[in-house]
Amino acid sequence: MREAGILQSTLAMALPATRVQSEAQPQVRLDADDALKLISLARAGDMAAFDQLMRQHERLVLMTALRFLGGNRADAQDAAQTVFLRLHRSLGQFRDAENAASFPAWLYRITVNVCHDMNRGKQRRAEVDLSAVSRVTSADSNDAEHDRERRMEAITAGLTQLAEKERAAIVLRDIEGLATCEVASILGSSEATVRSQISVGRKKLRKFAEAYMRRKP
Amino acid sequence: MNCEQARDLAALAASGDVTTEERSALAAHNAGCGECRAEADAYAELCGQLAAMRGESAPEYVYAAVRTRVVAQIGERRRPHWVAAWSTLAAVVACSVVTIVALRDRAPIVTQPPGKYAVPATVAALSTEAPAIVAPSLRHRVRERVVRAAVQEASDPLVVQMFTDDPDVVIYWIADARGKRSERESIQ
Repeated sequence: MREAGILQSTLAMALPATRVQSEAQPQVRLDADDALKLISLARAGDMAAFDQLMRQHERLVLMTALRFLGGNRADAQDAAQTVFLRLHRSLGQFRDAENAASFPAWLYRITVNVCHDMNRGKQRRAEVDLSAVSRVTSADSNDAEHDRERRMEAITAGLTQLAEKERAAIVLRDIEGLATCEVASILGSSEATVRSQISVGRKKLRKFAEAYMRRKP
Repeated sequence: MNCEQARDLAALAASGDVTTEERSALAAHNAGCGECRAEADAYAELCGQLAAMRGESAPEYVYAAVRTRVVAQIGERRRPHWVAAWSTLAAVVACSVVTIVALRDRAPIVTQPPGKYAVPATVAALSTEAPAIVAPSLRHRVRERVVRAAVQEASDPLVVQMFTDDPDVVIYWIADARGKRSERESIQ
């Protein structure tokens, strides 16, 4: 519970417009058959099925967009809206109809593309006010918790400083927990390229975090 | 394996993105190099912290707002099919009505002997049949057309005979060939 509070306060600081819950939303868990039925029904125009499909994958889309777009909740909501509209329009193009497992990867790909378009449109390079971030800490936290809290702040802030491809690779591989080959497929790159991006991204992130931790709280 | 190679690999080894041989070589190097071992531990910690972000989520109202907007947009996308169909139908009906009205109200030019001038049926119809349903603007328009047509056809003075509601009253409109009115009205 304590950790949950720290996590929440960390993200509330680094993502100012976002109130993050410590526990994941109760996502609707469906087996592959049910997922396939939902996809088929949604493709046929059943809005209830599409709504269910959205509920099942909304965390995936929104949280991924949130991290891609530098933690701006309004932008992430816009991106999620665009993703689901694009999904609704192109459900008929989902070719692996017999393989529901590939659906999330397809959705990730749409999300990445939408966020890429938004980033390109805005030429976003998030700037995090680190002094502002470091001000907000729990008054009663002990040193270890305080250190952990600040490290999470540093990582969240550091993510916004990465190049877009590196951030994409880190978000999908390390945060979303996808395999390197899946990340490569989603990003349309080779596995070697993705490994390189992950390696460079982690190095930059670690360097940024160390610099951040050296700052006075 | 030297320290530089070990540190490059350490970033990937933290998530297992190395081959078995690379992992073995890295382990062997780190066993004898404290700095590289610390580096590897730091990357492992970083990966653990990134993985901890996996469980984060947003409040329900954030998702609900997105769902509402998506459903509304899809509804708007569907609506234009109906709107377009009704618009097309309405446009066709409107065009048909306008065409019918225009054709019905069009005044045929009656050929008259030289010296006499055409009086459109519409003007004549103003006399008794249905004066109330003909708008004043329409009367004016019809009258102007007649004058122009008459001027083009003849160089003699123009005489337009107009009937009114009162059968005893007939208005004569006389103008010269250039369209100038020579005598205002004479009431018979």
